[in-house]
Amino acid sequence: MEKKQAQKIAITTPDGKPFKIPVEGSLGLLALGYKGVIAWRQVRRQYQKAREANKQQTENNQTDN
Amino acid sequence: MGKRIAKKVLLIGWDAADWKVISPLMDAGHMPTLEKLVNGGVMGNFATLDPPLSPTLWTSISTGKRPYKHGIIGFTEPDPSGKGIRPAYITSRKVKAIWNIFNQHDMKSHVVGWWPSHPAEPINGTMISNLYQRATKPMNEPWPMLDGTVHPAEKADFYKKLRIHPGELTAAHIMPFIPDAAKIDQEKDKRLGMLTKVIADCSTIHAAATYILENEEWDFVGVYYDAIDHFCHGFMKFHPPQMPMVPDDLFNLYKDVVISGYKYHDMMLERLLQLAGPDVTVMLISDHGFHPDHLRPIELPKEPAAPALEHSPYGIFVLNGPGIKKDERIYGASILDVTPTILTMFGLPIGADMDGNVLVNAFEESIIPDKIDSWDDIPGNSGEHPKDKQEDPYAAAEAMEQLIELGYIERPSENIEKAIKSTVNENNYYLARSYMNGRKYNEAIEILTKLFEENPSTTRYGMRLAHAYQSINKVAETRDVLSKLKDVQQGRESISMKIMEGNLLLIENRPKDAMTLFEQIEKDMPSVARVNMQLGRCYLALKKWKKAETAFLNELEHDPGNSAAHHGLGVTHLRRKNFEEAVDCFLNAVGLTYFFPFAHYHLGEALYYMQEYERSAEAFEVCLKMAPGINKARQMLTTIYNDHLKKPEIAEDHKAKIQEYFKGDIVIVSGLPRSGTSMMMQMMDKGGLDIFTDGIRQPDENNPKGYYEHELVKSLARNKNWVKDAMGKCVKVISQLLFELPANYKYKIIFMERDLDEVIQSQHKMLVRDGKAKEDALNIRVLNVFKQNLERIHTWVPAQQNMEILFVSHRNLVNDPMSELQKVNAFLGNTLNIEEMAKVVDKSLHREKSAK
Repeated sequence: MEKKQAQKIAITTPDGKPFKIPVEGSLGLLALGYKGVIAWRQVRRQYQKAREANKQQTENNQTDN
Repeated sequence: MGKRIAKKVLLIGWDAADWKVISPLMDAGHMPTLEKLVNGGVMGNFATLDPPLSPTLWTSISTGKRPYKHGIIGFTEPDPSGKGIRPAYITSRKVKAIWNIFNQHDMKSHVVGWWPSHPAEPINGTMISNLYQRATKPMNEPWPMLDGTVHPAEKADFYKKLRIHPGELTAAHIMPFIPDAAKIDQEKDKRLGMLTKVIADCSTIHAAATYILENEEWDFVGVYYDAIDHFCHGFMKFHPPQMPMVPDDLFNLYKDVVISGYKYHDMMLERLLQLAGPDVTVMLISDHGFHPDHLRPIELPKEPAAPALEHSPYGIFVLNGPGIKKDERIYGASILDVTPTILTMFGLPIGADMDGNVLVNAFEESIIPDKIDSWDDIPGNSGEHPKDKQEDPYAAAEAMEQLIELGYIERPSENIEKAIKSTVNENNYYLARSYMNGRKYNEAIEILTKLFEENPSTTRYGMRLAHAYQSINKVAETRDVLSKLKDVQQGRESISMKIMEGNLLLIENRPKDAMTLFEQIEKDMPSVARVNMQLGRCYLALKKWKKAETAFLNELEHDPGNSAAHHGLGVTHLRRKNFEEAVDCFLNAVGLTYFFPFAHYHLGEALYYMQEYERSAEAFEVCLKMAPGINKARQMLTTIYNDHLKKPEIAEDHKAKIQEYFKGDIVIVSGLPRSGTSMMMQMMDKGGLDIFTDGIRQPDENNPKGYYEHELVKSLARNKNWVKDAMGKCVKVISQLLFELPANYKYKIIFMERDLDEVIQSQHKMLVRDGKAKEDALNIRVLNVFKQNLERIHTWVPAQQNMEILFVSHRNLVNDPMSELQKVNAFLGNTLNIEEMAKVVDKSLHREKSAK
């Protein structure tokens, strides 16, 4: 079960195309159930990580300057 | 085991879902998944129970039993530790739920969020309790999960992480509900926070349910969503059309919340069905509805559980799957029918102690459900908590009180004690209502009497007690309670009390007095009191058909869904021989409330007069299915099958069944007024029979030895409820009312015959003595009426299968009592003391003698 939380979940549209999960989430994702919730949280975490990394990078750049 | 027609059953609960909101949404294409489910299966109204409190209702759904049997009677209960109160726990449930029965058959069940289901039961599957989803702390603080929330415990950590905190939600989740959410000042208006919690809670339940459906093996999954109820309690007042007290800005802000809530549920439903896969039987239900229209209350009283007044009595029911009819409507379903129906679909017998029925009309094949006495008696691993964990919180509270009294335990603080006492009182009040809803009025009266005695200022306890007495026609007792209520209110009489007084007048067969009172109430308080139904009933009793029609039409203008008003309107047409209009009204009534035996009966009657004998027979048959004791319908069927449809064998079946449904014997003393009926009653009394009399009419100059009457008998044409109390007794019924005797009892009728001239003379003298007629103005016009009445008695009574009649000559009885009384004794089975009876004759009272 724990694996399910960690597993990378991809969401597709009804016609099989990959669905780009918005970082702010959506009701549609919640309606998908646990997969939608886990996938949204993964995207959110990635976004937060990237933002922190960017922030860190900006701070580093400012320090370098 | 019987035939299993369902491979798997997915039971989805949407608390408070109502067709009145759903139907227009489906029509507009906003709930496509539900629409598909409805079109591919059967649907209907789902009658709720009173009181409409969700924990009690969802337990009735999962057990097939009423609250007084299953033990969950309120939202909260005393904590058995005596430390306070707690939400209702599953350990207080006294009987098996459907998943416990499945457990005994090695079937795999999963239950998510059922109310109540904490602590989760150790079933063969996953149970996630109703205390799983709610976040009580801000997102930056720990969010622990109570022990016992998840079974099996090793899965608790996974499900804990799956929970969605309201703080996680963003504008993307809120905007579909409140497009202008940004305008809300959240310091002043807390509704947005409440909405976010509801969305998070139901999404949490949905996440757990979808995981189970996709990853677990299952035979049965039950998942309960409470969000529609919360959306409605919070935002229905803003739902269009705009209510007068709602300001424009709030209306514009929140008008979409309820509709969006339903749309979101349709989206979640789509996912559940997708994961459940094909060939699954899906049952979607709600425990009650929620008024979305002009029936929304403007103000709620300040009392516990007052929000339940916003609930409507009909929820929704949809069933779709293999072996289920397609695109059909099911009538008469009740929340009690869920468990018996699902058991039958799995080929398992239903418990005879269950209060619900199997919805056999939903099945394509004809299925006769198997029955056992009770599932609670069947041993085996039911997945319930061990006996030592099962609790009776009310007994625990009493035991605790005893220990406190004895000095073994310290009394809890005053506040806790008060809270426990108030919870016990409130739950006892709900328990009494549940008994009343199950027509167990005596049990309800016992509880309410104690409650009212201990809490005289809580008027709703008194009013409910008065209602209970009124329901069983205990007029004096009802008045006594009303008078105590008046004292409590310093002589003030509430509208409800006045209305109840009017109802009592109707029971006493005083429709004129009742009408005057109701008309006055209507005049005094036109905007507050709605007495259309009461007025309609008065006018019906008084045969004022046009006025009755207006009263029922007024009611229907206010509430077109009132099936009793459609029925009343139909009766006004039926009695005026407007048979086609009557049929339309009765069809409307049964379309709204299918379980309405008298509406089917009257439908049958109207169709009979229209000579539509096939349809008439069908209506009477439906009436009898619902109420097999209505022998009048059997008598109609006997006539229809014999005389019109030429099916004598079916007529014979009904004739035979008439005997089966006789409830018991009643001795009737009858005759024209002043034909010696009081004398015969006195003889019966002396002879040893139990007399049905209330002693209200006292002996007077006209009848120095008493009348032996009962006031209720006068109301026989309209009120037959009292007849059961006369079973095994002797009762005086004048000849004109014999035709009104209900057909489900057996009667032995002693019919007094007296010379008609003597009768007329005697009646005249009585009227003169009472100052109601002049000495020289003998009214002989009544003679013909009496003659016709007697002729009808002579032909009609012997044709009735439930009546035997012995004609007794008044003259012979006075002149030779022993010889006449021997015949009476033989007729009644030779059990009378005829010597004592004979002593009753007082020839001096035989004052009017004809010359014959």
